[in-house]
Amino acid sequence: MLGLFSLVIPAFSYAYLDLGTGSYMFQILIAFVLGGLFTVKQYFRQIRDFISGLFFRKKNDSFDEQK
Amino acid sequence: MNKNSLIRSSFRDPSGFLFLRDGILYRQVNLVYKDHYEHLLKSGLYNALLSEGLLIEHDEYADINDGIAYKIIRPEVIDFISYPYEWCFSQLKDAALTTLKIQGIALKYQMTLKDCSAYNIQFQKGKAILIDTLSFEKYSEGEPWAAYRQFCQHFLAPLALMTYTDVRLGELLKTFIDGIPLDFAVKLLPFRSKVNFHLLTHLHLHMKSQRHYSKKTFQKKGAQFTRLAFDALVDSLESAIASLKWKPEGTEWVDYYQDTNYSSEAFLYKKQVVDSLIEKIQPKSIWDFGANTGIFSQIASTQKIRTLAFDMDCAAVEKMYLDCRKRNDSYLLPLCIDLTNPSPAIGWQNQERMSFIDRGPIDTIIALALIHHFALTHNVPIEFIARLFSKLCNSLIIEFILKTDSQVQKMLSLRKDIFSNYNEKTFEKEFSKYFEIKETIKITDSERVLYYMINRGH
Repeated sequence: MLGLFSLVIPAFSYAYLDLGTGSYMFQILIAFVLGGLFTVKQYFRQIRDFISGLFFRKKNDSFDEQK
Repeated sequence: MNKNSLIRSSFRDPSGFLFLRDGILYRQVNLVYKDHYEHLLKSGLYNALLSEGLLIEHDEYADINDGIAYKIIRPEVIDFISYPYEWCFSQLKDAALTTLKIQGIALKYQMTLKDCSAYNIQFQKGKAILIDTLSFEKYSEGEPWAAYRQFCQHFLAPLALMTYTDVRLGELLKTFIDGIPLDFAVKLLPFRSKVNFHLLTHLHLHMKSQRHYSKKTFQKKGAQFTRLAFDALVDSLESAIASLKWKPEGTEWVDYYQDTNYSSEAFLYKKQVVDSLIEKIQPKSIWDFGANTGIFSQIASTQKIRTLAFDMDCAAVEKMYLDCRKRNDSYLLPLCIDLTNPSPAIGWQNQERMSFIDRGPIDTIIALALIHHFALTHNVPIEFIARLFSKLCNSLIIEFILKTDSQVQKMLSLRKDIFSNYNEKTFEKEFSKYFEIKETIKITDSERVLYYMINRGH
């Protein structure tokens, strides 16, 4: 049924897309800055979640007490 | 005899390609992709994406061992193929966010998207979904994202242009089939786009890097791009897309239903007539042209009929899409289509992306308060309008607005009336060449007539 398509197929599969040298190098250049900002963002997210978790637990506890 | 026919847009990726056989869609998975395909399934990524409605389903049809092909799979078929230059702002934005969400999930399963073409996303049941199952490859830490450039060109650049310059610039995706080149996008963006840190990074500075390295040769070295950097990149792009917002207002047709020419009784009557006609016809699918805010398209989608709502006004389509999203309407898909200049066939040999006309015909077309614009604003002869519709549908619900209608009078007030053929008699005569008129219903309290017709060719 198939094998009628004689497309040239390479022996291995790399990304077939043209990455673009400028785009490739740019990612390496900004990696450190983006990584640093992301780490700080994650840190503040964890603090925020911890505090809102505390607040939510307190609210639930006082609600249970009222019941 | 070879009964297989290649899908014209599916040829760039050596991992495999789509083809049709006896009207059924298949995807050949090549041996070079075998490891990645097996990892996609065994790692659990395929099921994870399926459970969130982010990737189309497929079933495995046959195993092959001819030195080239590895497997044939049968993917889920998309109801209607649409293209990024036909999407409103929020559809393109949702397609971008869906792509990034998929990339984020893929990394957790040690895979990554090797391309980020907007054409890999389609809208099915009202939601953006990835249709290229072979887009994934096994992730190995060290290499930057292969699809970064493509993501910026296909999604970030057009969305930034639509936000900061003009929403109609989304149409540039028709001209630039691999997304808008960053140097061009940056020229069209105002200075204030640089105040957005993410656009400054991924468009302006990214472009400068492209320009800087454009004439340099480069040797790839060892691992330099960590997993943390990758997660940070995806997160930054998500923030970039999320920061782009556009309000649908200020266009010619966005407030149409505040200014229309119907009394509330006439409008209600028209809705009832359209509703009962659709119920009688029971079409499998409907195209609603000049749908505006989708009031009549919703009559069809409420009856669980797959409905496409087209309008040339991007703000009207935006409002329709946001409303569909809010109501979770899985039967209605709004798109930006101008029937006086519908999407052409583009790409290699003008065959990669289909023209709008070639994506028909459809069961039923609804054309309400529409054709007077073609005839009187665009000077299209009624015979041409009839011929076009005859190619597109099996049956037609169409409204003819008489010259005595006050809106038509307003349209003609500053022009010489050269439209001696614009009348009921000519309309019925020209359409009867292609359609059999089954019902003629005068809308009470108006100068408008609804027709239900069946194509003579079907």
